[in-house]
Amino acid sequence: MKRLVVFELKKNHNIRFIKVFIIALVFVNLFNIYKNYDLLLKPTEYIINSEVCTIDKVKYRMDTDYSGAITAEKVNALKTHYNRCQSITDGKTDIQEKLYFPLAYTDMVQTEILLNEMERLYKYDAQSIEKLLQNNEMLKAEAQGAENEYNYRIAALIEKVYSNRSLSNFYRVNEYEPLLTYQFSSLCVLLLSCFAAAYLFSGEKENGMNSLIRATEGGNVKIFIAKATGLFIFCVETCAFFFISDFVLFGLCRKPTGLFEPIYSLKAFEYAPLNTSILLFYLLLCFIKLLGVFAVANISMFFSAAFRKSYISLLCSLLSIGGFMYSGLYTDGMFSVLKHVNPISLITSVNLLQRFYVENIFGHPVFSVIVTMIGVLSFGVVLCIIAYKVSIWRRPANA
Amino acid sequence: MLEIKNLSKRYGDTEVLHNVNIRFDKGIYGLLGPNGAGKTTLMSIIVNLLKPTSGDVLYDGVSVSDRKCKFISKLGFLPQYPGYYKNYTATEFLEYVSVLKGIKGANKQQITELLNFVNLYESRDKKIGTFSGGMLRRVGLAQTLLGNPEVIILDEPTAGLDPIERIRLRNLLSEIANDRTVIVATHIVPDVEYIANYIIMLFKGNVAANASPDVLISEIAGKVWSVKADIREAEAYIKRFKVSNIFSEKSIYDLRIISDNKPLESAEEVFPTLEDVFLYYSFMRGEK
Repeated sequence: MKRLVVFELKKNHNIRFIKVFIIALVFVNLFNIYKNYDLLLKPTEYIINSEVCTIDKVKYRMDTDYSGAITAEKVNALKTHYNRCQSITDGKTDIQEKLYFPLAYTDMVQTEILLNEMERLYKYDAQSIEKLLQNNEMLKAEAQGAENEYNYRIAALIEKVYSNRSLSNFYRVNEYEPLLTYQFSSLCVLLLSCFAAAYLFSGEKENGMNSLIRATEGGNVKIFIAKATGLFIFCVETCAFFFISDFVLFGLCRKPTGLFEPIYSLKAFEYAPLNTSILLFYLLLCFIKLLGVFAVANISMFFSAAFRKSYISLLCSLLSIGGFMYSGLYTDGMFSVLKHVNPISLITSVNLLQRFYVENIFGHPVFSVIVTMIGVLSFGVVLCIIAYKVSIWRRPANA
Repeated sequence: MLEIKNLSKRYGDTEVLHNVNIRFDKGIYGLLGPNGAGKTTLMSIIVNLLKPTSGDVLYDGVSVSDRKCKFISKLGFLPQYPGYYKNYTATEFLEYVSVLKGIKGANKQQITELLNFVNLYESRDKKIGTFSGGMLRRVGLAQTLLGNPEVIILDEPTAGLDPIERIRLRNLLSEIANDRTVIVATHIVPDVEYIANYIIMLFKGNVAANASPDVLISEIAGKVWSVKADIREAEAYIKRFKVSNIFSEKSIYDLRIISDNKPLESAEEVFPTLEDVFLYYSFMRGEK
């Protein structure tokens, strides 16, 4: 089986238009990140010590100087620096110390932003979480009084998730937000996987190899498993390639630091129901996206098993993706359950992980992302079985 | 042993195969029929790619569609127009098929032997995309032989080949026929004329003849005639009789006529060929 999977992978990698498409998408993705997220492209420029710097580049130096544990010393130093900058701006004092920016006013504004961020981090448990847990206590008491077991369980889960959270370090963690919410590379991976899957069976029929393969011992179950495994590996490879390149490119463009800080240290993720590091969160996000991509690839594989022409399979797959994206936006009310079998929900799962979203499963609150993962996986398995049945359906070789 | 029993196949209102009964022993079977006679459909049913409307294909008494049937592991099949994989080398392609066939053990040695046998050993590491039509057919033949199958089925193996490659392939087929059942479906009579032990003629889904070439030829002895004529007479004879061949030399036309009775006083009886047999049955079945 291992050798058969290797042969199937080789077939996937040898499809010329996929190769061309991969190269094209890599460049488009690279350009997209560089154009929209690179700090060096920001318009305001300064010349500091004969070096051309953007505002973000100078900010990076400033952030780096104060990175690490938030201490009273650092806060006091920043406050002092802020006051001095204010005096210079007001014309009360001359420039006596080294500034980050040529203008003392810019230095003052950026110092204030830095101080506010440090304050937000330092007071995270005392303000954000404390408030949340207090509200939760009320909800818990209310639920207990009304004997509402489900709400009580939700409150208990909130307590379990958000208790004992605190932040004591300052890093450039907010610069990870564009990476975590970036979706263009997911779209690239989705298209590539669809292209590869659409060719799986239709391609064999187009070049007349289907009859030969089917007339061998491994031509039914074995080849199907090999093709499905090959497709999964292709999805993994493509996801890994794009997501790692995103990570590196965003790293170069945004210069974030504090990869091992908790995910809730990011402002946009302060209520994320996960207590993992940013790195683990990103890996988890990539894994969930991979499941979504593979489920979409299964749809494409089903069409490939059903049709003799790969362009028809591809067209049907793209229409299905469009349909899933559209339904993802408009499935509310009684159709909201459809969201949990929609593979696109997993690809855009960062929304589900930013806040506390749960579903009522037999009276128990279960995280929406888990419900969606199970739903999409079940959908993928059903599609796989149908695709298998369709692929071995005995039809005339020339019909 | 392979046996086709009362096999029929319909596509909607069209009957493609009608009550076909054939029993295959060891040897080469030439399945002759014009385009659209139902050869490919019959092949597809034999290799279990297609379901018959009625009847069955049995291997050692078990239906080939039965899960217990071992037919698929004893089969080597070359479909009509396999596209192969242009980026695979000949060796890789044979390795791929051997994995599909579930061949374990010394298959590398067998692949080398087969590449030598089909005279492709020198090109073993070349991409299939660079192969000529004849080389492709030989790779196709080599893959059918992987795992030493008992039954080999070839659908139009010589289609699109030049005369030399056709002869080369024909000779290879003769060599592999020992102790095996080889079924060659074709519409080109010379492809099987000299190598087939048995000829099955299929017209419009019906088996018109099933016997050895000698028997088939002897059956139409006294029904093939040669007539010499000028152009005006030749035109008239073509409209009047079933002419299998016309040869002209110095304004004199030599017509080969198939007829149960002596068509003209001047007609001379000639020894029939398998092509005459094919045309005889073809005319009988109303083929144009």
